[in-house]
Amino acid sequence: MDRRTFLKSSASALTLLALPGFAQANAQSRSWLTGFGKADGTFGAARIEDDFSVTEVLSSSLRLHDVLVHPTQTEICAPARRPGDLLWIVDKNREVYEVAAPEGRHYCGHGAYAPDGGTLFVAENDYDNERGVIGFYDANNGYQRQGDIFSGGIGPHQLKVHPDGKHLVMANGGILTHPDTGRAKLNLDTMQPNLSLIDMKTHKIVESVQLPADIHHLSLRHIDVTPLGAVVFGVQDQQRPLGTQPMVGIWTPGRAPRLFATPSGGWSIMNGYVGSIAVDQAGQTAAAAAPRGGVVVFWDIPTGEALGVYSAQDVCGVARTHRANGFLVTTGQGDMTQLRMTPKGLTVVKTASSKLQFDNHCCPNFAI
Amino acid sequence: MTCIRTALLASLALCFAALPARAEPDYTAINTAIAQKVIVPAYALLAETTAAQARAWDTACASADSGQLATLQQAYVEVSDAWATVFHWNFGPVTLLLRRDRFYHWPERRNTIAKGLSQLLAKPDAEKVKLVNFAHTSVAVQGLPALERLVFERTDTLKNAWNCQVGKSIAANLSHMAEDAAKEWAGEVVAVIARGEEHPMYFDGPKATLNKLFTELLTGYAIIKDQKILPVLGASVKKAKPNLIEARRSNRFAENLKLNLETLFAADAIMASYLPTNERNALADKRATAMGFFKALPPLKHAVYVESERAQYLAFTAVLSALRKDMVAAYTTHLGLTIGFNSLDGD
Repeated sequence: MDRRTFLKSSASALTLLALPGFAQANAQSRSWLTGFGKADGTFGAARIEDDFSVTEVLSSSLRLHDVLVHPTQTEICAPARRPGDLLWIVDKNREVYEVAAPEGRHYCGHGAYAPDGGTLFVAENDYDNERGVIGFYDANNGYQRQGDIFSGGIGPHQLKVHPDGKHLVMANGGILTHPDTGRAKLNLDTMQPNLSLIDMKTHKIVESVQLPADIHHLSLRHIDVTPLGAVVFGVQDQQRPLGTQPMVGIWTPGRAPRLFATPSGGWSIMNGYVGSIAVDQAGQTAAAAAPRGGVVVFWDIPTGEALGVYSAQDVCGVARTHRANGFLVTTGQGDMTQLRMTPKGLTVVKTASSKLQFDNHCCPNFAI
Repeated sequence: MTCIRTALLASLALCFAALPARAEPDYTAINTAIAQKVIVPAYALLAETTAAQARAWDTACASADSGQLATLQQAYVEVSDAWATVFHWNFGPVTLLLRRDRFYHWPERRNTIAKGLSQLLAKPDAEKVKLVNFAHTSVAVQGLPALERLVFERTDTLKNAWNCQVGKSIAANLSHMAEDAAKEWAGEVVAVIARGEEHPMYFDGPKATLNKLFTELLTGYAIIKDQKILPVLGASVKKAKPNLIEARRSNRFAENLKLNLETLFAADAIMASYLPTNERNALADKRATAMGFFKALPPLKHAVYVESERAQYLAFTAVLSALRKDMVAAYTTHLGLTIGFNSLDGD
């Protein structure tokens, strides 16, 4: 099999389990997509409806991470997490396609569609050259690979399209890995994570910021972007045993990054590890999920003040709902909870359980 | 009728009374046993062997006798063996100041150690190798894998005063880190664990601590499979990479693996002693099976090229995976531990 070839998958290689009403659900804009694992060791992606019914939409041979929604088509993309070298596309005809990474590259579980849907950007590790790249693929032409650009650092992880429609925001975690060494981290002493703003047209890095040198070991990995273009980021602490360093902050391009206020209970409640970040529909509230600490912490974005904490074992997926201050959170134990976080307090709207182990991220399945 | 009902209720009451209440396991006792019987002695041995190695380097460099190389090699082997009994712990004092990465930077990025060592050896700089400064240089040249190259690969280590000084500095650095880790463990850390308290830097309460210890045990099995064996085997004979074998220069791969298994099994056996008899015995059987598979393994550097021998290694990793799965089932069910899909292995 030519690894550079876009392949329509065979039924034996991949099975589309079900995609009923995918387009309709998209139009109703009240569903989410997430990667999952099962107790039998298999993986895939699923759709969670507003009523918490769960439908498996993709079965994959590798563990997934984030799921990307095409902005104009009923089409999704699910890249394997590192060091996986495959990504999957489920198109409007419910057919599943597999795209292989080029030689010397692997995916990192994240990507983003250009606003017009014509290009898919995917975070890739160019491991032999020890640098991060963003591969770009022609979504209108069978996801043919068009080329790549420097991501701005090592260990590229999550990327988002800036709301100006012209730039990508890239979180370069700074951690070097190589498929020959599994998921081992190879440069913890020298890592230099950064957030980079990249012009989608010229491919130039317009701006790149780092955290102060004394906290360079905080790996910048997960981000979400407010409607006004501020980047909320979450980090993973690679040195402090119990993670007492700041974990979440905000960066407005053109300014220095700013750390959010310490949550009640201290930063150690997040146990040094933020697994996902989400900004609510109104851009007022940020949520950071910390699975090792078993908490989701919320902040008021304009003031940076901590609003509250929601506790759940192995919680990691967090995404906005259609309501202001509303979030869906999911756990590795299959729990799904919709809640609202306002300055007045936390309200759990509803909760349910599934047999699936929900993976790091869930994303809104809103139609454009 | 009333009598019958009364008798029935009475017997039911007796039945319930006879059932023991399901008490929460004594997490503090389990943690303390693992710390005192497995972890503290292992770090004490690491401190002892690294101190001996540092003294050996002082002696060898002072005498400049190339015959001392065998002594240094033996000292290295003893430290390597001691490290193999703590290889998986990313918990407690070894996590402070990047000690774990500084002590044993493995696996390495491409030739980082060779490149870093070449640069260090090429330009004598006494300030750079002073203990206080050396701790801030690249982890690639600070630890045991760099020392392995000096005593098993290079032939000029004892003939060149600067090369010898670099070896002395690495040995002193290792001794310093091991001594600090061992002292912390044997003193404050184990005492906090025994009191069932939280530690301000290293761990939360007793249940969270056991969850963490358990996670580290599972990670140990994953390291053996995902870092020590599968990358070396590659997807096929053609894709085998024997140069990735751990400790290939000192030829300690097999011994390391044996010690890795023994230390994992020791902690597992302590945890298993809190399981019901059937589960305890089943895990013991699985551990014995895994050790049996290990003992039958041929040398890896040749096995990578022989299909039947590759299959033996793959079968061994499958047995370890099965053991890992059974451990998860037993300890989550009977000890109330939780191993998270994301918290254990998120990204």
